Amino acid sequence: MATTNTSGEMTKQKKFLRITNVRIFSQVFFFSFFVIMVWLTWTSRLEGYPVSRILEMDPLVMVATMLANGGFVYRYLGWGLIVFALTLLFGRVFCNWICPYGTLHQFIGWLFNIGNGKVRISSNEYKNIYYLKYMILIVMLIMAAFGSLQIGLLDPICLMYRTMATVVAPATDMAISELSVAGTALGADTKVLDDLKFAPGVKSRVFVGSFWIGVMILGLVGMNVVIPRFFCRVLCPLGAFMGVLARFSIFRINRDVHKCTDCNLCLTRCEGAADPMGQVRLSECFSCMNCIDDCPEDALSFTMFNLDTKQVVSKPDLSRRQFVFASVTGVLAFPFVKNHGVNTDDNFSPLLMRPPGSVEESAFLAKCIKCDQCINACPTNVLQPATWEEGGLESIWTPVMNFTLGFCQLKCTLCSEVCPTGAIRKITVEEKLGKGQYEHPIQLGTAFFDKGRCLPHAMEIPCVVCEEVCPTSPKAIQTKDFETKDVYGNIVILNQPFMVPDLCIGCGICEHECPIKDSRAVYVTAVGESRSHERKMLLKFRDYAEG
Amino acid sequence: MAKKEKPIQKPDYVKAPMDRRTFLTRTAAVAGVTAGLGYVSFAPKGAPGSLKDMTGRRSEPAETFFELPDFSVEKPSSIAADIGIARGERSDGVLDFSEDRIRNMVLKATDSLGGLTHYIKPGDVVLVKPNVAFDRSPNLGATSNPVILEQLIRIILADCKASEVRVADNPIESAPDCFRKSGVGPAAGKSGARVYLPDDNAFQTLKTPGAALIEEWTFFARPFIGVDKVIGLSPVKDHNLCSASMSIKNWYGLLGGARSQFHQDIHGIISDLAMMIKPTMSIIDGTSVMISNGPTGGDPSNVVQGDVIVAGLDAVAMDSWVFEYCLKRGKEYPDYLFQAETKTTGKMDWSGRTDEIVG
Amino acid sequence: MAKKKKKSKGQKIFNDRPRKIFRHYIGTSEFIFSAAFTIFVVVMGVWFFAQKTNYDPGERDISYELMLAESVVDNLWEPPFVYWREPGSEVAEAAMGPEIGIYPDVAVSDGWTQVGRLKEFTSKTVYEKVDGQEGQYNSFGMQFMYFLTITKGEIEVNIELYDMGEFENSLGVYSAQRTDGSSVEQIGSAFVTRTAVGGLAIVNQFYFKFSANIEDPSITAHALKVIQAFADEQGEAGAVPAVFGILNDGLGFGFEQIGYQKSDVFQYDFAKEFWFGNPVGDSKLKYFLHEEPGESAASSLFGQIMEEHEFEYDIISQEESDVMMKHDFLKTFNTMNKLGSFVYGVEGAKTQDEAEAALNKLKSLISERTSQ
Repeated sequence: MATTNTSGEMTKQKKFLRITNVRIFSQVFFFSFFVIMVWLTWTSRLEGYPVSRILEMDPLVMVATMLANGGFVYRYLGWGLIVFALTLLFGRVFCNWICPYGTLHQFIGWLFNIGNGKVRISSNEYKNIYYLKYMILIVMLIMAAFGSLQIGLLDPICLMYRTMATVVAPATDMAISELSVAGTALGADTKVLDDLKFAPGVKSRVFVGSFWIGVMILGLVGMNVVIPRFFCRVLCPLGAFMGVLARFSIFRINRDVHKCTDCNLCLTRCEGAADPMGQVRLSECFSCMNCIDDCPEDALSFTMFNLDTKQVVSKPDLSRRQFVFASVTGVLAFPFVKNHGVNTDDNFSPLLMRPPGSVEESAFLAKCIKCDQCINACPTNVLQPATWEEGGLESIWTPVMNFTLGFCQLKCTLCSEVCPTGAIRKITVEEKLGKGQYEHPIQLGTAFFDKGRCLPHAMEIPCVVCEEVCPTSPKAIQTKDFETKDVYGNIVILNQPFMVPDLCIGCGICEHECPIKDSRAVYVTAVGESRSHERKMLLKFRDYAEG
Repeated sequence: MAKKEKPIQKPDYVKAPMDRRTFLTRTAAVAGVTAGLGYVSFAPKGAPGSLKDMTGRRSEPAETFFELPDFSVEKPSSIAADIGIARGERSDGVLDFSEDRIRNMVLKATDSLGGLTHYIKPGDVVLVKPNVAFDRSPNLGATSNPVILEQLIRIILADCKASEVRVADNPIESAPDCFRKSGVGPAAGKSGARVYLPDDNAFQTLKTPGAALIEEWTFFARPFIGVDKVIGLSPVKDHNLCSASMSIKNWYGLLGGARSQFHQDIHGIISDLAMMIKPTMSIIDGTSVMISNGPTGGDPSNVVQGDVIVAGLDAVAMDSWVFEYCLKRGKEYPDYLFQAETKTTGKMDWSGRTDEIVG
Repeated sequence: MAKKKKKSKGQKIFNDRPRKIFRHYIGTSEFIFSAAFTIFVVVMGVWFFAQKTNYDPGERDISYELMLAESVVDNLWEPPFVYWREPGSEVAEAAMGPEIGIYPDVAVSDGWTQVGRLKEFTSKTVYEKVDGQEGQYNSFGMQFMYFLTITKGEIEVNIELYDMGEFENSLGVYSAQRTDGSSVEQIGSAFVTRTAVGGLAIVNQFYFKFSANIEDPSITAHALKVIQAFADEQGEAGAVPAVFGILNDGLGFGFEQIGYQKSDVFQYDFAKEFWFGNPVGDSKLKYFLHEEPGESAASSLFGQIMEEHEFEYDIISQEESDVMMKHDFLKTFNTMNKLGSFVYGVEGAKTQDEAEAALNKLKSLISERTSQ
């Protein structure tokens, strides 16, 4: 251990502030920040915090979205240039210094990896299968270039955010709820505890299909006990993208051959499986600096001076054959996916209702990175990650509205505020309500009555909650009122509701409040949504102004 | 035939028999556990320690019930009125909404009934229940006016020296949004009240003995724990189904569960609400009256300017008066007022029980 | 080193190896970088929280001023509430006669029975029945319309009954709708024009219109009965305005000779509701009069008219409220006078004497009326 004070020698302070500790601090900082950003994405907390910033800093999100949208950079996506530049200078530092998903994998791996030195060294050797992420990247970028954005399926930040929003947040809220119930039963004031929830002040949220998102993360994280940093090494398209950029990096791990005794101890904790003991693979190295700590000869350093260019492999290990196969798959994947036929303007599911401010469907699929931030921000739990039913393959985990679970709050535009890529264009409340310079409110769909299930229509029982809660002025649900004697002999006043589709904005609160809970008597479907010319229903909107 | 003797295998092996003590203790233990479990499973229900559950009912969790005490306070003997009306001055048809004016109106309305200090004692925990059902802006008449709420809370805290004021409601729409955009949340925060939002775990089952529809129903109970006095603050709204939403309908916001079912007997439920809770006082904000497109409103053309703030001890009488004077609908009262008269001690006939102060 | 109890691989959960650092050398640059980086990261955190106010709350809400500016009163109408009618109950059937509302009972007597239900319409909904003509009715201030269908044998008659609010309005519609030259009879307080399928009539502010599917004299006869009974029920022609009385009774003008102009009298937008009487034989000479609610209102109207008249008329003589003038172009003699709350006069006279004579007749009637 260190003792003397001469420059270059270890001291307690220097050991404390060594690069790996700083890296750990950075990882903890960004991970906590990430969790805090997810926590802040709620209607009562959002204010002006830039909660999408980590997503916007993701260079793959920037590049892929640009590719899919004619080169245009939406709003804050330019921040991705920071990480882009960082990678060009320092290599894949993002993977081990910033990426919260990487932190998670590394932490789980560290916690549960029980192998001894020999086992660990062999687990960190470079394996051929690590080329897979480059093929995944190529397929996804080609699809993006054609107009179908699928990077969100495997991009680590998107994946992590999606998991936090649909799996971790509700699970945490459930746990806090139970504690709070127990606390209240004991007579305590549990306000502080309740305010810690991700979604305080409303009924507990549920997300349809989140089980599979949970299985996915458990599987991917669990694989860390088999291959350390499995996802980062084998699957991560962002890592692949940065690996391609890293070949130009100026700073790198440098091994002094004259000092190296080939003990292979540097591999004990090598996160990237980057062969620091031989020719360091720039495209794999995460700059975790563990090898520097582990080398008893001080042969390794992270520097840009005195580089030994012979000890470096800069290009990713992707053979031409693999490259061609990936490209062909990418080119074929696009038409295969688009011609799957379940999400065209002629054949679309009535359940495919998108958040307010969404662009029309083909553009939406070229922009949505399935990060599910909008789903997290939504105060009424109406936004759900889509399953096969709503939009088929392409739309898995994109946001759709489910009006049995919630409804679109009239003056809320939070989903559009947080969307990093513009799949949900930022709108103001003025635009949503169709006031000021905007002629017509944004319509998410149109409501319809199932008169055979409606109480006043089919069963002589007075109801009409739907008309009561309809938020438009004048209301889009009007009633024809008449008095009748029901079959039991009671005189009842029946208000029989009917739709005025010109006025309906498709908010779904009528469907949500209808007491026929299993299959609602008034339900909203996607036709008539204002974002799409092709999916419109009415020819014109009749004027409701007097005179 | 002679049996062929089998050779002894492993002759050096010496077995380890169970000693008697272990055998006996084990047998006793098994017998004891079996007997115990047997008793617990088969002993009849009344026997101590029995877990027998023939019908399956015993395993259901015992329901705990919440009950609301009577929050009403006897009015001073010198006061004859049950309804105090404060009429504000209008210029150009618009009521002056400055804080001082509103504060004066609230004071005048409650002074006609003996003053809030008579009803709220120092150290009381007071719950003010506004109407925050939608995320409308304040002057659209769909929610309680935040200026009036703020002044009311200030009076309760400063003049009556209450120890805590709580503001709570369970809106139809998203609670955080409704509280913020209607101005009620910020007003409560500014004046020092604590806002209770309807979390999952804030609800309990309430017993209302004698009610037709809500004898037992999920209720937003958390804000009521430890409360001494309750004041309702509601706007006046036209309503397609029940004809008008005034102070009694305001309590609907405390119900939870599948309350949309109650629209099948709307007058029944509203009159049950009059039984469910007996507040210390109800205050009606007649400053922005919604006369069309109720109860959600949404367009300024749905609202007419009013000029009264009404405080009342008899909710039925107060609603009748407001129906006639704010909504200007004459004496064809909604059915629920008639039903409430039979179910509670309230009386619709307000003549001789009002005290109106102008200016 | 003490030997730890070795767990077999399957028993260990966590990695319990202590971290051992093997390196010996830490450069100063590394130290400086680490310190700087730590500070930088903390600064980033502070920056993040400082962004709390970096948004425009106006975008997340809509101002009341904008709502006010865009506010509209909607034109959605509600169909009328339909009351329950108990079918089949004895008492109800006995009491349930034909439901004819305001129509006189005689309408469903003598073999005539009601078909369907009585329908009521307001000024907003009348288009449903008369579609196309509703503009005309509404311009005369129609308030309600009742529609009754009666039948006898093969004849089916529709009786439209319009409540025009005021006698002037029903007179206006009646004059507009009856064909030129058709006769007008006065039967009691009703004015009737007979047609083969029934006819048109006015009773005070009500306007009748009969139409049938075939022509038959029984229809006209029945229509007259209905009209007379209705007029009797309505009682005295109290709704007939004084002015009409003056022209009708006082000056003896028949119905065809009396006209009523609702607005833009003399082509002035402030002059409204003037009655005109046109003596038989003389197409040019007209008496006109108008009643204002009070004297001062009459004076101001008089003043306004005179201000405008001065441009086109040559004033011959002018006293305080009596003016004699001659039209610059047409060379006819006109008067403009005021007495009490009446504004009256004569126009189109060929000579001054003619004008004065007509005027005096009118004046005496009016002064009689004002002194009453």
